[in-house]
Amino acid sequence: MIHAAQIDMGTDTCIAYMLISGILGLALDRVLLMIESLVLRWKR
Amino acid sequence: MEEKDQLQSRQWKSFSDRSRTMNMGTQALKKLNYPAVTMLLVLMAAWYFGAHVYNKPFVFPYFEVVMGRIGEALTDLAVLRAIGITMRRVLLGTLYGFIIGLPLGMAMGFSPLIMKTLSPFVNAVRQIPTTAWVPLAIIWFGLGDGPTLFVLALHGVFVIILNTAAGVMDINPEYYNAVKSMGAGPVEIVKDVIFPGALPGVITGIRLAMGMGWMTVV
Repeated sequence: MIHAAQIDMGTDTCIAYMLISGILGLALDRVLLMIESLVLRWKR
Repeated sequence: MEEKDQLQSRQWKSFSDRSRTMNMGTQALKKLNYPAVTMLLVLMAAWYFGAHVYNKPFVFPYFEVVMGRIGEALTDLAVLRAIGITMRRVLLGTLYGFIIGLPLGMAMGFSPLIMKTLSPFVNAVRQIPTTAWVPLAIIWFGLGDGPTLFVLALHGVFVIILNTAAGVMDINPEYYNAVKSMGAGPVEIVKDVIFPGALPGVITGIRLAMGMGWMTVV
């Protein structure tokens, strides 16, 4: 989708997809942090 | 009399439900990362006013237009399906990397001989750029998910190996002596000392691998 936006020279669409991928990446990382805090409860 | 009791218990239940909901709301507010939220608001305001002052939307698009595009994308079924496919690929690629990287990292962290033997290869292969693997991956795995999963697993495996090995090497040697003195065998040592001791490193490795995988696949 980002590549299609790049080819169409749609800067706004390109930035929109970049932001979406950043937010999804952050969400993925948050899920892993939650798993980490559950699994490593003994360490605290 | 009974009706009055029932009414009172119903009122009490609704009151306790409401107070529980309020407590959850208060807790969520307390947990909110206020400095980050403030930073986000400042950035959004700077973007909004900066774009309008600069007034060249091709170079620096308007904030509200980009937000509109995000709204459109998140309500488009094709985009949502693409996000789902990408997420599945990242998770699968990282899982393959984890399956290969965990035992290798543990062995490298535990045995200096294995570390000495494998580390030059690991450190050489992990320097090869992803783009260099793509043509080979297509020849080996054909078109479709295969090459993507291969590249994702390859990206993740080295991060997981290095973090797992570092986690195992960080374990205090006295723990080994302690469990051995209590009569633990090799299986118990792996299960009760090496695996839990390496777990923080393993999880950090998975986090990094997944982040890198996400960047690569998008």
